Amino acid sequence: MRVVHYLNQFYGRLGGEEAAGTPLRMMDGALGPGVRLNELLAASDAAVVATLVCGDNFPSEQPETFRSGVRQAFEALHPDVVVAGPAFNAGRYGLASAQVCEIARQLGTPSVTAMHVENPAVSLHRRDLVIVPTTATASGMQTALSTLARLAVHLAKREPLGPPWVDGYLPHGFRRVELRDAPAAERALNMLAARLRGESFQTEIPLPEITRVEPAAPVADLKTARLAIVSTSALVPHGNPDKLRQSYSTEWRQYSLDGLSALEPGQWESIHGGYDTSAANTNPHLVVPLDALRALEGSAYGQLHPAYFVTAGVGTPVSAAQRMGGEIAAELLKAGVQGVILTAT
Amino acid sequence: MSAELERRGLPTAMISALPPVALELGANRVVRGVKIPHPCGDPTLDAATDRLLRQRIVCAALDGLSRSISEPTMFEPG
Amino acid sequence: MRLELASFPVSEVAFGAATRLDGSRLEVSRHDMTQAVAHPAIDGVDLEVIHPGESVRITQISDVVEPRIKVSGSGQVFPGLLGPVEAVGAGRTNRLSGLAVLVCGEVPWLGASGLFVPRDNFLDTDARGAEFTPHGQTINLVLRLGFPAGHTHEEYQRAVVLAGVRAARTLAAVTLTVPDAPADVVMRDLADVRPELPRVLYAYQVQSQGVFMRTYLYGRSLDELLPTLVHPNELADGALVAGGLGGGAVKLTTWLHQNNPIVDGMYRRHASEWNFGGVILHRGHYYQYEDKQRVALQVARAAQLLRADGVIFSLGGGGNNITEVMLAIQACERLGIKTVLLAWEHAGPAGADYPLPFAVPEAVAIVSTGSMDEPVELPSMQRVAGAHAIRTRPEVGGLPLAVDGPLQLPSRYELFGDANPVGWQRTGCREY
Repeated sequence: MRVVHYLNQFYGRLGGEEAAGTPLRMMDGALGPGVRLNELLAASDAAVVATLVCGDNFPSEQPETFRSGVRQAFEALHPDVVVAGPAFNAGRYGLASAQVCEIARQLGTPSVTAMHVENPAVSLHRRDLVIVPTTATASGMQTALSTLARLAVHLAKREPLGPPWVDGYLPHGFRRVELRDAPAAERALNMLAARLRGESFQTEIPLPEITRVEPAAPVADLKTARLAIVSTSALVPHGNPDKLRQSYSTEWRQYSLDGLSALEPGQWESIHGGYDTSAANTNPHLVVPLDALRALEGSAYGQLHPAYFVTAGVGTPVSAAQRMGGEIAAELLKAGVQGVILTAT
Repeated sequence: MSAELERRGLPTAMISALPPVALELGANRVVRGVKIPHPCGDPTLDAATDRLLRQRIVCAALDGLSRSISEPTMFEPG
Repeated sequence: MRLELASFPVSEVAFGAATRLDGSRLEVSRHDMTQAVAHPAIDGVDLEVIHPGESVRITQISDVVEPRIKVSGSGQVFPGLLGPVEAVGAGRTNRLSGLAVLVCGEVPWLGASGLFVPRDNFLDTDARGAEFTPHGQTINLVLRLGFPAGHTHEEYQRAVVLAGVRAARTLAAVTLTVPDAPADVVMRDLADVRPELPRVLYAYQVQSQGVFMRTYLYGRSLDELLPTLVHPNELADGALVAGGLGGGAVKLTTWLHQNNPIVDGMYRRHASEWNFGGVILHRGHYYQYEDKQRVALQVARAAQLLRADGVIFSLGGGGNNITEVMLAIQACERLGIKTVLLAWEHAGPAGADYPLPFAVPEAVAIVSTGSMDEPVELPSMQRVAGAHAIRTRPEVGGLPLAVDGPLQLPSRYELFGDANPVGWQRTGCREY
């Protein structure tokens, strides 16, 4: 089986930072850590037939040349699997390795790379690529090469990989229900016992990565601004004519506020499945403050956009919320809206 | 959702009864709402007082929209 | 406060002229059951028995109760609901083990909507679906209640909760006159401690907000509950009763309050791994952030006053119920108390989103109890016990979902108890 290996300028023996601009080049056989990789592959009738070496800066300085060069190399070499790195904590090397694997993936060739879990390339690529976690420094080189060799052979043979915790790669990020060896209560009691004894334990749900968005520029001139009202309270026209879902909502709806100075109870209702909607049904302004917005229109701010956007914010997956936010943003920007008031329940 | 609106360039003031949760979920401008089922007012107040409260909440939102901020910020209705 | 829990296992149930126990064979009188559930807001009950191994889809469940009765010690089971408010949790209590009473029926939707409607559900006693419930292994006595028009939700709810506890106690009464000794007797006593061991508590969250999601303690609804202390033996004697109508994946039943695996597990290791100190009972889903903060503060304060070294937390419902618990975990950890949380996951259909609606940095020890969102395929069962279609989508006026064939569900919300809130099942999520 034919393996193509990707290394940066340092591991490819071309020099250190001063050689970071080295363009992509192809070398016969194995180089640097690839020699050891090759030895490990030999037992499974696989060999490193060529090594692509590239300076750390080249992929970002000349992205098109880099990408087409890699692609052409793969088309000429027709590898059964591509191995990139290990990149450890080197960010540029990790990103380049991930790109190389992406290109292989687009050509239908399996690939695997290795780097430290905090390498910036991981959060960008873990969903789509097989990434072996390594130490931060090259102290873990031998372990990384062993795992890379083992996985490369499986991938070259087009064998499905086992689960991440068995085969030693980073989870792609999809959580699935399984039957574990013991009831959840038992696992929790064991975890508590371990904590009290000061023993190590492994949480089954890791803490979230905090994602921050840069605040947008403020509304430049509030007095002339066009603002829109959006709500996750699921307040819709009575009878829910467009059948908004009360939970697991992945769609939004749009209703006209044109000419309305108030929301009459009886004409609107909240169909939300996650809170007591009786207050909102008696006085819709408690969730969509149209009366206050009209009172302040023309004085505290310019105009209220006539379209009101609504969804039910319960059980909504983050990805759906993001998509809906993007779609609503597109509508609002098209209409010249400059700021949004969002009410959540 | 408010994070996505901001990401597209629309400053968004979110009125929420659980401001710390909103801030953790990525909202940048959060106005403290009253209670989950009625963030924009209080049905236990008489109508006129409730309307005044609602105006204060909306004004806090407007204030949030017109401020330049560098990090997630909570705005209290005055 | 020492409780002896005496088990009389039931291996077979059949209907007969009288309600009596012969060895492990229980005969049930339809007349006795009909009398037990009688209430102005009920017109009739259909009875059905399902044994383990049968392949049945049971629909529209409001509660599950284990038959128990007190033999000695003060009070009677289900205190405050059946009989006076008298302390329970000591003396001897008999149980019919292996038997569960399921209170079912199509509770009318009276124009309520959103959260506040009886949510229809189902459970499977066989194949894949049985992985998500304890009741593939219990003999299930189904009481399918009929609800006449002309009553309020409060009245239907009262009828449902009383039906379950009355039927349960009526059945357990057979053990008072059998000649046989119980198959086993478990001693439950928190008093025997080993001072060198760490102290642990269980922070037990329940849901109680209105007529559809009500929990009772000594017969009082817990809608206004601020954290309180409960002895685990009180749970064994039915002081905590699930009074809601319908309910989905996150439902806690009376059966689970009686047979809570976290309580059982803490007792099993009492005076060997740790000293079990008691239960902090609290409710979540308060609507104002300050209320959630109060709950958290008081849970942590109770743990501190009881000198806890560790606390296990479980969730009483979905959505922002987790906020109270996370804030309480934060407060406990900051006091040096180690915590573990059992949590369901809400990571979307593909499992690609972050699984919890809210988390704090101090929640470093979490056990996953399964997913509420993952689509699931279930084969058809040999028969359906109850309505052959359940009502979904109340927000559009209700859409019937036929359940008599194989099912491909886009989420697990209608799967009764699937979220496994107190960790009975082996389900959990892993990341691929």
